[in-house]
This record gives sequence, structure tokens and C-alpha cells, in this order.
Amino acid sequence: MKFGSTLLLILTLLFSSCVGEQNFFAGKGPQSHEIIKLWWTLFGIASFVTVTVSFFLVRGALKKNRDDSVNDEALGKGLVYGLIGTISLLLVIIFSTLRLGHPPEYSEGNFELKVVGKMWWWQAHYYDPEGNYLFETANEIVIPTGRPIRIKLVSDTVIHSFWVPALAGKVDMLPGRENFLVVKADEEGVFRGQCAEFCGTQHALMSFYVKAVSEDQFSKWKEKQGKKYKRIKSHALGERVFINSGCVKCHTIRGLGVATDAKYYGPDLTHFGSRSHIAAATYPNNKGHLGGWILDPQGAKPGNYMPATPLSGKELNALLEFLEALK
Amino acid sequence: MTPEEIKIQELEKAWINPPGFIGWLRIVNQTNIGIRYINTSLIFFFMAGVLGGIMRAQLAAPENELVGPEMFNQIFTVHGTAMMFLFAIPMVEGLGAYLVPLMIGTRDLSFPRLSSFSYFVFLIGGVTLFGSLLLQVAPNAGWFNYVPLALKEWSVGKNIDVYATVITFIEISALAAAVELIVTILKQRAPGMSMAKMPVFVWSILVMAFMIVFAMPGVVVGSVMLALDRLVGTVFFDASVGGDSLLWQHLFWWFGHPEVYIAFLPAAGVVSTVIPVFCRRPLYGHTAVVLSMVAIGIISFGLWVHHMFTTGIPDQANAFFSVASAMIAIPSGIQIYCWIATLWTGRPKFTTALLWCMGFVIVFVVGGLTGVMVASVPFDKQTHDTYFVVAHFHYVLIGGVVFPLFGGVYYWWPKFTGKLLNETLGKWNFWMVLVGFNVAFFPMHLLGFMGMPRRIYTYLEEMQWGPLNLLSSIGAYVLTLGFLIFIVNIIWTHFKGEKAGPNPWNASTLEWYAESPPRNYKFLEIPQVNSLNPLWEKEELKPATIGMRTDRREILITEILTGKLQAVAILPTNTIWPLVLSIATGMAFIGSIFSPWWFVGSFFLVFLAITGWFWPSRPWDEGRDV
Amino acid sequence: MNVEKWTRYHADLKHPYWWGIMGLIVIESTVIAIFLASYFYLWIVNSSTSRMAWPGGEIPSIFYPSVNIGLLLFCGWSMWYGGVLIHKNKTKAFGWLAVACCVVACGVLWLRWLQMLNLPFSYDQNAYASFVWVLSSFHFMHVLAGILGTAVIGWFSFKGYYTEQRNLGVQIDTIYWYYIVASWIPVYFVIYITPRFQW
Repeated sequence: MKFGSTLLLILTLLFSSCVGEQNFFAGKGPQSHEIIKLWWTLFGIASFVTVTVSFFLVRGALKKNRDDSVNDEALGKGLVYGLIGTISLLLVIIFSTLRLGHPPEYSEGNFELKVVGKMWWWQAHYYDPEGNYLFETANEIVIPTGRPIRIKLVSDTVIHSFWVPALAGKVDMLPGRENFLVVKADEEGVFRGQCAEFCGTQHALMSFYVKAVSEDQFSKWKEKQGKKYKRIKSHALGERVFINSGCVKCHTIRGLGVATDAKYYGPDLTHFGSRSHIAAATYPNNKGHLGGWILDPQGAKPGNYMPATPLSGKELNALLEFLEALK
Repeated sequence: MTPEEIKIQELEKAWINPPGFIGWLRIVNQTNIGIRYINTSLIFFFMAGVLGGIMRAQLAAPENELVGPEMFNQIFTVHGTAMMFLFAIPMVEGLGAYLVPLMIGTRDLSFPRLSSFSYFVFLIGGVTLFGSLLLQVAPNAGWFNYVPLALKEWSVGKNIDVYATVITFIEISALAAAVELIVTILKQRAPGMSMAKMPVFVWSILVMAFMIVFAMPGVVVGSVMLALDRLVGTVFFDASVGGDSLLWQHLFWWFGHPEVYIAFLPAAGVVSTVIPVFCRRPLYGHTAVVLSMVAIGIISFGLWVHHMFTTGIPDQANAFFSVASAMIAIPSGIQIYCWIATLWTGRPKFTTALLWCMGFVIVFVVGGLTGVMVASVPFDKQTHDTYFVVAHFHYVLIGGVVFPLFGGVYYWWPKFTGKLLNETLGKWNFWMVLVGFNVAFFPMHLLGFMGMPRRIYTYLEEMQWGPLNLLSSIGAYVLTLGFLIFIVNIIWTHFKGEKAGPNPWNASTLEWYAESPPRNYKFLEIPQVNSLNPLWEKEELKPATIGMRTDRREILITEILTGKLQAVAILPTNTIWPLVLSIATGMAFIGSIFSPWWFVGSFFLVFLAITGWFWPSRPWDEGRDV
Repeated sequence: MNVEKWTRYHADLKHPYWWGIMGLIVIESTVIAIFLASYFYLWIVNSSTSRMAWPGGEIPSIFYPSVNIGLLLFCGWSMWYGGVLIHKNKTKAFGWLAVACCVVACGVLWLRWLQMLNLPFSYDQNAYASFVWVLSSFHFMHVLAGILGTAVIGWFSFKGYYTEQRNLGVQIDTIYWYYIVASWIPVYFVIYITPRFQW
């Protein structure tokens, strides 16, 4: 009974580590595949060493026969074998690591995406392969499948770290430095990422999504995101609330207004309605959550830079309609 | 009265602890100072542990609202800072301060007033850190305190200034204690104790002390630059005008990596001491163990960039540090082999102390193996800054440092107090800690795989990290209960503990030659030492000299390598000046949180205190002072 | 071994204090070495990423710092010669040399004060400026500490405390003066001379 329940517990634990949105065993890109393979080599060696050491420790402590046949000379030989074994295993580890290098199809060339680490969200700038600037968006990144895409990672705030475990390892974003990450998504899908360098009060909820789509859909998406907002009469109240309540001070909607606050600059909302989540992947993007967020951002993410915006029911509804329509 | 009784009376008088509270503040004798260090470190350990418990309570469930982000960030920062700076370093230095003079056969450390000063500075630092937490201005950017988050622009308020101050106190305290331990070990060993006949624990303290001397300056420079950037506006870390935020990381980790070996080596020294005693045979491979410790001390300075693999440094640089980080497994492995060999060929007696050492081997090996895993750059790129690393370092720090230190506490408790800790309670203590620890920290490896980053105050329900976090928190409470049993044991032993003679374990090193607890003067006569295991030799120990004066504090000076007697020196007696200097130092650095002028003014107070410290007392021709 | 008649005065390597001051010197040297390594680190990072042409502004004149090296060398010499005199029991003469050392060192402080008032940059202008200010100020503090300590030593010497036999304090103060002088030379070279070479 004890053995059975222990086994079940172990299997549950082992199995549970293979699920979850940010699991790095998902292996959706070449780098993450290589790392998973490396893991199993490391795990094999580590298990072997642990079992061996534990065996000798427990046996050495508990054995009954304490004759003098194991003298210092024999122990000396054992030490030499142990050293040879240890060095061999270390060499195996080092070679498997170095062999990994960069996965195939690692490309040089222009970066098509620049991500800037902000306090506590992700600003994304897209470029075409020739290097011309296209547009700005935030917190949700779209990439094409089947080919590598080069991402430039910078910060104009503190140090952050860009990490999408399903695709690749993390790369830090440091002020004054330019780091690059090349990722390739093998298949379409949505992959979650999270900031992996402590960056202050709301580090815990600074996440993002990467959507991998076909090359064709990627071009269409870029074209749509590049378009400015055209004012519509039915959204007049919503637009007015957006400007008069101060939202426009920090949030740009290209075609409506440009943000002016340099320090507390927030995500570009021009195509906000096309995003699946809000507040750096904290809540799903629907009217209920968005309304709650606008009225009380400090309750959801204490310490973030967005102040509460008190609005009447009518104003809030109009604003929500307007924002969700920004596809 | 016999001549011996007269001698004892005179020695008691010369080495007396003055009575009263002021008297207690004036004590410079290392028996007392060492105990103060150990007690204070253990208190900070439990306080930092409570903070860990609060963190586990907050993280036990997703989107929990027990503690908000501001408080949580202060709590995890103080937890880490206190564990590393207020427990790990002072505990091993305190154990060294207490045991080294006993093990090498001298009456005190080289600079008794400096010991007292460095203790008070440590205490001031610790009180400042926990005081700031009570006032809710504790440091909140992690124990590693990266810039630019820690600079004035992003950390408004005094939190980080408190950090820089506390770190400075610990730097001063640790460096002073390190120099003192080195000088004591090199120059004050009993006549005949060459370096080859020095116990392994003393070697571990010597290597540790040298590491402190060369590693701490990294964080000294970093904290000075940080304090100046924040206080007066220098720009060492501002990338727009020639500075660099990675500079902080290099400086911090130049210290930070050797720091963990600074904590580990004395713990390994404890294991090398305890295992042979309870296996009733000398340590197998003494020379190999000593050389391994020296090798670890040196190699550990070549690893620091492994904390920075993801910062965008060139691959070739990463590769060098990756290989070096893996290579340090070799000397660690040699020591493990020697310990197991000693067990294998000895006749083990399973006291609590030995159990702690055996538990250490397994837990530390697991932690060391996950360490070799994260030494591999591509793997580290996934696991860096996730709970996998949290699991790794708790395995090596709790397994590699806390387990041996508790083993050492159980082993040396009769020497500290004259009573033996209860073995039944001790075994409950050990097993609950072992089980609780593994239940608390093993799941964190899996959480790392599931993508849970470090240093987060909460997580969303949809991440599915809840069950493993809950399991980990339950384990943490079992662990806490295990440590509570330790406290129960101390209290029980105080009232009902079995009395211990000078050498209840039949151990071989010189500290067991002194009484339990030792007199302030330690040994009636400093013995001549001819062996690595002096108390296991058939010959009785004989005094090394006649003619040392007993009406003042005298010690013997010997040559560094051979231990040949060279000279007699006089040590100072009780004095208030170390406390005065520590207060002046405290004013300088705590004041500087508020204004640089406190530092300037206190500079002169420090000068006055040092003058008072060294002021020669009459009559001058007693040769008492410099 | 009968040690009853052995002397307890040791103004040399036999006394723990000698090793103690050496320990302090090793620690401070490591601190300086790390400061200088950080200086070169920033230089290299700035050059390789084209962030700022190091040193990013005007390089200060080396007139005052060079004069100061001469004055500091005098201080070191006067303490050395004072030690020689103490061993011949000429304690009053040593006292006057200690005074001379203090006076000249005050000159060093005064010149450095003048120099820093006239630096072509403030400490917050760029990282090079921060280094020059911080390293110069720390050395200033150490020279000041040396003056204060030597003044006390000199006073005790006039009072007859230091003799041919009992002079460990003189030895330690002298060693520390050697260090104050010697540690300045690499710092001087790094912050005033090396920026003049543009690699």
C-alpha cells in the first residue's frame, strides 16, 4: 500500500511537469528540442551518480563485515577509478554541451522584430526584412512558422529577460546593450512567455504570448497592424472618453492621439482588439476583465504605473465598445 | 595551595570576564565572542527561515493575497540577504573563531579587540536589516540587487541605501575576522604543529579566510559604487555616459560565487572532522582532502560568469566558465570519496552528528549534480532564473552548509556547554528536516521545467503551478517543525542534559583536551604537539614551555610552516574601545543613508576611537602594548 | 623550552600585528585592483560597443598629481629614515621626522584639493570622471588617515614611549605609509596616463 501510493505520487509529479502553458518540454522549436535532448543526457548521468554515491554511502555505513581486506591501497585504487569515471562523465557533459552550439538554419541578417522591456510590459516594433520600420504593438508577438526570425532585445528601463520556453532559452534585455535571439517555430500555435529577470514590483505578472502563424497570415497581420485608426461616428463617445479621461497621455492610438508621458508611457492600443489578453498576459481580453482593469488596475497588479480611471457606467461601456473594436 | 592551584588562580584572574552588562560589552576573549557569533547567526537563520515560511504561505496557492508584491519583494530580499550575509558567513567564522584556537592549541585569536569589534559591527548590520523590514523600508531588489533597478531612478526611497549599508557592515566584519583567522592559524599554532599536522577543519577555515580576503573586495567595490551613484550621483552604472549595468553583475558575482564556497568549505571541514570520530579511524586521504579544499578555493574564483550566461556575453567566454564550473565537481568528488572510504573502513556509531553528515552527502551530491547541469550553457538558458535554480542552490546550501553545521552543533555542543544534546530528539530533528527539506525543494525542479520564474510574488491559476507549490509549502512546514525540535532539544538539554567530560566522543583533536566548557585560558599549559591526531597517540601531551607568565594574557608564536617556537606575545585584556569603534562605524554608514556628512563627521570619530583603542596603558615597560 | 627570559617586544614578523597590517594591505590592494579592473572593463565595453569614446571628455592635467608623487615619496622616505633613527634610540629625531612627514602630507592634501576644484569635469559627467573623483577622494582619505595616525605616533615619540626596543607602532605606521605611497602609483598611472594613449 505504501509502495503503491509512493509510486503513484512519483508518477503524478513526473507527469505533471510535462503539462502547463510554459513548459519547456513542449519543444516547439529547434533550440528547445536540442535542450530537451541535452536534458535527458544530463539526467541519465546525474541519476547514475546519485544512485552510485548513495549505494556506497549506505552500504559503507551499514555493512556488517569490517575486516581489514579493504586497506588503504585498495582505497587508493578506488579513488583513481572514481576520478577517471568522474572526469569521463564531465567530458561527456561538456562535449554534448559544446556540440549543441547553434541549431541549423541559424540566420544572420536584419532583425524583423525589436522588443523593448518596459515596466512591466513588452513593447514590440516590427520591421520588414530590408530593415524599414513598420509599426509598434505590445505584449503579443506574431511570428511566421517554418523559418527563423531574428529578434533584437533591448531595454530603456531596467534589466528584463525575454523567455519563451517552448521555443528557446532566454536572453536578457539590458539598458545600453543590444542582444539578439533567433527563434523558429516548427508549427503553428500560441506559446506563452514570461519575464525572467527580477525587474521590480510587478515582475511576477509581466508575461506575453507568441503566436506562430503561416507566412501568409503573418504578412496579412503585419499589413493590418500597420494601418492607422479611422474615426467612426458610432465610437464618438468612446473616443471622447479615451481622450478626456487621460488615457491618451500614456496610450497611443495611431490616428486618434499620441502618448506624451515619457516616463509612464504605456502599450500602443491601435489594434488592441486583436489581442487575446490584456495587462501583459494577465487576463483574457474581454469586456468584463477590461472593465475591471480600467476601473482598478492597482487591485489587479499593485504597484504598476496605470492609475485608476473612475468612469460612469455609460462612459465605461462606450470605452469598452470602442477598445474592443480596435481589431 | 599547590603551585598548580596558584597557577590556575592567576590564569583565571588574568583571563577573567568582567561582571555586569558593561563588563559583558568589554569582553574580548574568543570563547565568548565565538559563542556570540554562533548564537546570533542561528537567531538570524531562524528569522530568515520564518521569512521563507511566509513566502511559502503566499506561494502555496495561485493568486494568493496573503502578502502583496511590495512586501513580498522585501521579504525574499531579506531572506536571501540574511541567509547569505547574516547566517552563512558569520556562522562559519564564529565556529572558526571558537574552535580554531582550541584546535591549534593557543589561548585566543591574534586580535581579540578586533574580534569584538567585528562581532558588534555584524550585530549592527543584522539589526539594521531586520529593523528596516519592520519599518517596511527593507531592501527589495533581491539579495543580488541588480542595477539599474537598484539605482535611484528606479528604486526611490531608502530601501537600497539600507542594502548598501548592511552589506558594508558585513564586509568590514567578515574581512576583519578573516585576517584574524589567517594570522592566528599561521602564527599561533602549538609548538610542533606543522602545517601537515594541522586538523582538516583548521585548513578549511584557512582556505575560507583567504577566499574572503580576495572575494569580498568585489562586492566592496560594487557596493561603494552603488552607494556613491545613489548618494552623490556618480555614474558607474549608467550606460548613457560610459557606465554599464553588467559591471555590477561582474563585481557582485566575483564575490558571490566564492561566497558559496566560503560557506561550504568549513562545512566540509566539519564533515571531515565528525565522520572519522564516529567511524573510529583517522580520515582517509587527509592530504587529498586538504588539496581538494585548496583547489576548490582557487577554482571557485574562475566561475562567476556562470550567473550571467543569458546576458549576451560572447559564446567563447561562456564556454570557459561553463567548463570551469563543471570541473569544480572533481575536488568535491574527491572529498566525497574520502568520506565514504572512511565510513566503509571504519566502525560507524550512528550519533545525530554522523547522521547529519551522511544526509549532507546525499543532498549535496544531488545539488552538485543539478549544478553541473546548469553549468551547461544551453540548459542554463532554459533554467536560469527559474525554480530549477532555486531547487539547485537550496540543495547545495541546505545540504552542503546547513546539514554539516547542525552536525557540528550536535558534535561540539558538549564542548560549548558541558552538556550533551539529547540523541532521541536529535534524530527526530534530523529525519524531519531531511524529509521536509526534500518535499519542500524537490518539486521546485519540476516547477522550473514548467516555466515558473524566480522572485515572483504570485502566479496565475492557469499556469497549473498550484499543486506542486502547495506540496512544496507543506514540505517547508515539516522542515520548520524539524527545526523547532532542535530548539526544543536545546531547551531540554539546558535543564536535563547529560553532563559531558572533556572528551565524550573520544575524539582526536586538541579542543577535546580542554575542559567542557573550556576555561577562558583554554589550556593550563600549551602542549607540544607531535601528531595529526594528538589525543589518539599513546603518549600523554606534555607542556611545550615553562616560563609563560600567568598574570597577564600571553600566547606562543610559532613559525608558519614548521610550527617551531619563535616568540612569546602579549594579548590585550577586556576593553570598551571595540564597542566604541563599532558605534562610530555604525554612525558613519547608517548616517550615510541620510546624508554624506554623517560619513565625513564619523571619519574623525573613528579616528578618535582607534586612538583610544591603541592608547598604551601605564606602566609602559610592561611590554603590554605596541 | 624555558621562555621566562624571552623578550615580549617584537617589532617585526614575529608579532601578529605585523601580519595584521599586511592583511589590511592585501585587502586594500585587492580593492584597488578591482577598481582598476572595472575601469578597464568599462573602457573595453565602451570601445567595443561604440557607446562612448573613452574617456568621454577632457583628460585632467598631470601637474599636481605628479608633484604629489614627489611629496608622497618624501613622506615614505621620512618614515623609513625615522625607523632607522628609532633603532638607534634617537626618539626625538624620529618625532621631528614624523612631524615633517605630516606637514608634507598636508601639502599633498592641499594640492589635491586644488586639483580637484579645477578638474575639467564633475563626478556625474561620465564614468571616467566618476573614477577620477572617487579614486582621488579615497586616496585623499587615506593620506588624511596617515597624517592623523602619524601625528599620534610622533606625539608619543616625543613623550618617550617609543624606544629602541618598543617601537612596533612606528613599524606599522611606516609600513602603512609605504602602502599609501605605493598604492597611488598604479592608480595615478591608470587614470592620468593611460587615457593619453588612444589604442
